[in-house]
This record gives sequence, structure tokens and C-alpha cells, in this order.
Amino acid sequence: MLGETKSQREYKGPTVTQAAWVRSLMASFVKQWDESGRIGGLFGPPPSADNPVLPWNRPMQAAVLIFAGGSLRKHVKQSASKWAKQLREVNGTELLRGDDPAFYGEYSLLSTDQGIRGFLFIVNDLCFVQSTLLELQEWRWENIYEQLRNRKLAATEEDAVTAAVKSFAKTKAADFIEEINKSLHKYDWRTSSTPGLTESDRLSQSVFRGSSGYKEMRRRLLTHLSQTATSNVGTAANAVMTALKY
Amino acid sequence: MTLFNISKQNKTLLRAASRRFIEDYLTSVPETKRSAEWIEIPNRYRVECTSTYDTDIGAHPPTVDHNQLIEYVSESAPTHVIDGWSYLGRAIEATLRGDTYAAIHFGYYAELRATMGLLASEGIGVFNGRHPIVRTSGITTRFPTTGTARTHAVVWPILSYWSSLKRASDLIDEIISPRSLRLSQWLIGTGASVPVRAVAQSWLRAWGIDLAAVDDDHDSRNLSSYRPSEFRKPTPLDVHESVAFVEELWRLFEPESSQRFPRLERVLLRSARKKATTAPATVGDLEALGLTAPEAAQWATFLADIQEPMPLQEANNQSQVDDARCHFQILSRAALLLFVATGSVRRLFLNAAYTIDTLSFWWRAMGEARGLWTAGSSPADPLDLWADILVAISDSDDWRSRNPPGSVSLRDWRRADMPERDYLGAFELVGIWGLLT
Repeated sequence: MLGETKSQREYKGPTVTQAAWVRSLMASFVKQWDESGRIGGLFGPPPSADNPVLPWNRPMQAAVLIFAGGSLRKHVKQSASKWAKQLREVNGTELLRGDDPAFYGEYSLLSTDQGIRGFLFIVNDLCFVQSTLLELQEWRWENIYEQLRNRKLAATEEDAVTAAVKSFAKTKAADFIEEINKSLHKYDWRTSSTPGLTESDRLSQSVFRGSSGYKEMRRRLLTHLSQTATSNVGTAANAVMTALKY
Repeated sequence: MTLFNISKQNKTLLRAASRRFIEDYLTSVPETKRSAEWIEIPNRYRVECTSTYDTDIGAHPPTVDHNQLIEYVSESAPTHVIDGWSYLGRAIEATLRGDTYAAIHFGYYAELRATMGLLASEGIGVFNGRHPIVRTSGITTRFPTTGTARTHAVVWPILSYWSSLKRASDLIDEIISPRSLRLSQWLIGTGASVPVRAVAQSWLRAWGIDLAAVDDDHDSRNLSSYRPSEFRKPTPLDVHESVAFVEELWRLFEPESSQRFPRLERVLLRSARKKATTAPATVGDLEALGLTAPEAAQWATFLADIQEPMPLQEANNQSQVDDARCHFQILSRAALLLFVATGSVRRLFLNAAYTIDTLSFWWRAMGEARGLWTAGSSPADPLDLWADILVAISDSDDWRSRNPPGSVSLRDWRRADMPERDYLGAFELVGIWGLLT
């Protein structure tokens, strides 16, 4: 977490540094909207005062990220896709008990900077283009407070986040993210270094290494969703691809 | 050559140097100019600054153009820093070629340019024999007040004196602020009773120590620049040591969006604490600083770790030129001085509202010129290139784990299939990351 090298830390599984997380959040959810307003960060500043900013405080923003990540983890855990099965069979670095190698493992793109940023892009971008339909403006802290007014609320920030996650799970946006993840678990999240890959698979997955991997991951995930997801998600993916000129 | 002795009168002059005026100048630069060039073409000091300044000073009456000189000094702060990172990159490439003398040569000049950039950001121009000091009034004054002081003989005395001032410790306190808490807050809050002023002075004097050696026979830079390497060459290190050093140096400079080099800041904080106390930082103390319980536990573990990254260890050592680790030591000090100088200029840019777009005329062209990207394909965010650095150091680390020390040579490493290895000398990137806001 604080930047120790693999040899220095107790946990030997793959990690993404805190700095990498922050860079990816800044590039996706916290990104300033471009002037056209087509794709911006849900938590980012709009280009002008005329554009609405989502009224989400920090616990609410954390709740969206936690819900999205938890949902993806759940769907990957349930996944019987070929890629997931293979990652559970290969012997990688020892993980904590109960951790799914398809999600946390050494050979999962979901444990890499590129994979995490790709996922953050997808959730942000698709929700952004569907924000009106998903009624993102309607999810407010007042609602959360109202639902829990008879309980001791938000004694700590952790309590506030927990309450926000529960509240967010009941929104249209949460259903939409669930739909996204029902399709994303079918995507091939194997890294190019996964043992046993065919040469063509290895070459195909090697495009995600390095800085060019960010864009390629985003493009391939959008293509995957546009071809395999439900109509709402597929439509949103197509809209994002058009906006990004992919 | 002997070091210049700074008189009381000249110390007063150095104290009058105005960082504030440098910042005011940068703030006043119109957008059209700041986004197009560092310095205007007609600036009379641009081409031959030292001789022109000497002539202007010597004229009766003096013909110094204060506005143009202030432009020169202000803009030399970032541009010295840029060159310093380039020199460090060339020193690293020499290291990865087994050429320790060239590494020392470039490493020394990286230190020199870092110091010149740092001092320029503080209103002190380092020229040749006479040096302009930018004062609050917007007028420059020559240093020293009489006589001359050559660059190599004066840089260390000025850095050494400046490092003793409160303004130096204020700057260090601001630059090293893990999790947006100043170094002094961390130290006080975790029971380390050492003034930041003492820490800053100790660091700056340790990291600039190579600039203090100007004696021809004892100065590693002089020996590496002017004497045959074959006469005093060190025994080559195992390739593992050279490569591991470079990998560790890079890891210190993983960039973050807001807190540019958080890992280096953290290890410097830990190093500063160790100067004052061996007592562990308690979770309670850390929570009192505003950290959550899980964060505090992580920080307590981190601060208790006694293993320092290799560059921090090497920066504290000073060996002869024929010692196999001499170049590691100089390169480590150069990197740390460049970190401070970059942080200083970065703060000027932040306060003057320079953005990544403002400076795109520079960094996009530089990346193209240095082969980091091709024309028209510069990254939207240069911080993304950390992913390429990470591939390079991960591949190299994996190679070392597959090939034990003693079993392989530098040539084996250079011939291994690691396409991103080329990035390991690209320390220009750290300069780009550090200066862009």
C-alpha cells in the first residue's frame, strides 16, 4: 500500500500501488469534462457553471466505487468462463485464503494498473452517458439520511460509507452497473504472462502492457460490451465509442 | 581552485534574494508567451548571458537591463532542472553500460544544474564570475559585491549558506508533505523532536557535498572528466547491483497526480524521523494526525521499517573515484537534489497557475526529441508513461530473479528480451512529471 517492493512486504500477491490507483481515479472518475461535455468524470468538475455537478459527497463517491468493485468481484467469482477457470488452475503467487485467483491472482488483468483503470473507465463512461436515464442527480445524501434518521448515523466516515453503499444498491445506477458486470466477467482478463496461453492469445493479451495498454483496454472492453451486453449497456458502450471516436 | 569565502556583506545580499519576485514575474507572464517559449528571442542575456552581464556590470554607468535579467534568472530555474534530469538520465545510461567515469561526470553536472535551478527559483542567478541577485524591488544586484567568484567555486558556499536559512527549511517542509501533511507536522506529531531546519540543512549539505570538492586531485568529477579512467578504474560490480540500483531509483519516482513523488516523500520522512528518534510512531499519534485507523496501522509499520532504498543509503556515503560504488553515491545525491529543485520550481508554477497545457510547447517537443514518443503521438497525460517504466523495471527484476548473481554478465542483461529497457535512461520523464502541475 505504501509503496514497498515485493520483497519487503508480507503479502506476495500482485498489488497496484496507491499512486497508480490515484492516477487511474484522476484519469476516469475525477477527470474534468471536455469542452464538448461528451465524456467527463462523474466526480470531476464540469467545464462551466451551467453544467450540473453531481451532488455526491465523499462517502457517496466512495460508495459508488465500492459497489462497482464488489459487484465485479461477485460476478467474476461466479464466472465459469474459460479464462476464469484457467486462472484458478494455474499455480501463481499464494493469495489470502478465499481470494479468487481470477480476480486477485498474479495472472489476472484485474490485478494490474491497466485492468483497474479499464474497469474504472467503463463504469464512469457508461454511467456518464446514461446519467439522465439513471437519475444520478436524484441520489442525494438527504435520501440516505432520511432512510436512516432513527439510527445513529455517520459516527465515523466508515459508517457513512456503509450507509451510502446500502442506499446506492437500491438505485437504477446500481442495476446498470450490475448489468455491466454481468457482461464484463465474460471478458478474457488473463495477462500475457499467464502460463499455458497459446502464442496468439499471448500476443493478443500483450497489448495491455505499458502505457498503450490503457487505451487498448478501454477500447476492447467497450467493444466487448457493445457486442455482448444488454441493450442499455450495449447502447451506452456504443455511445461512448462514438464520443471517443473508436 | 579554492572555494569562495562568503563575507558578511555578501551573506546579507544572498538573504535579500527574492523568491517572491521570481514568482511575481512568472505570474505576470501573459498566457500567449508562457505557452510558447521559455524566454523571448531578443532577451539580451539569452545567447551569452555571462559575458553580456559582465559587460553590463562593468560599464559606466552599468547597463544592466533588470527586466530582461529577471526574465533570464526566472526562466533558468525550470530549464536548469530540465537539463539536470537529462544529465542524470545520461549518467544512468552510462551506469547501465558499465562506464562509471561517464556516470560520475554526468552525475556531477546533474547536481550542479539542480543547485543552479534551486538557487534561481530563490532569486539567485549563478553565472560565471559575477552573479545576479533578484531583489524584492525588482532590481538585480551583483554577487559578490566586489571581485569575482567562479561557478564551481561559488555554488557550494552559496548552497551551504542558503541551506542554513529558515527559507530553506520552509521550502523542504512544504516539498516533503506526505498525505498533504508537512514534514514538521509528521515529526512533531510522531514524537520526533528534531527541527525541520536542522533536517533540511543536514540533507542539503550531504546531497551537495560533491560540489564542495574543487581540489583537482580529490574531486571525483575532476578525475572523471580530465584523468584517464584506466589509471584508477574500479573493479566492475555484478550486473545485479547496477541494475538493482537503477530499478530502486526509478521506484522512488513513481508519480501520483497531486502528490507528485509520494514514495520518495515517505522514505525521506522516515529518514528524518530516524535522525531524531528510534522510538516507533504509535498508531495513536498517527490517528491524531488525522489518519484513519487502518491508515495509521500501515504508516506505523512503514515508519518502523529499517530497510532504506539503496539510493538513500548510497547518498550518505562518499568514496574515492576508484571505489566501485562511487557513481551510485553521486547519482543518488544528484537525484535527491533534483527532487528538491523540481519541487521548488513546481511550487512557483502552481502559484503562477501554469498548467500541463501551458507547458505543452516544451514537454511534447522534448519527449519527441528524446525518443519517448513519435511526432503527433504524445500522451494526453505524461504520467501514464509510468506504466512503461514499470514494465521496464518489472522485466529487469524478473530477469534478475531468473539469473542469479555471478551467473550472468552486463552483456547478458543488455541482450535479454526486454523491449522497454530503453526507458530506464529516460529520467527526463521525472523532470516532466515533476514540473507539470
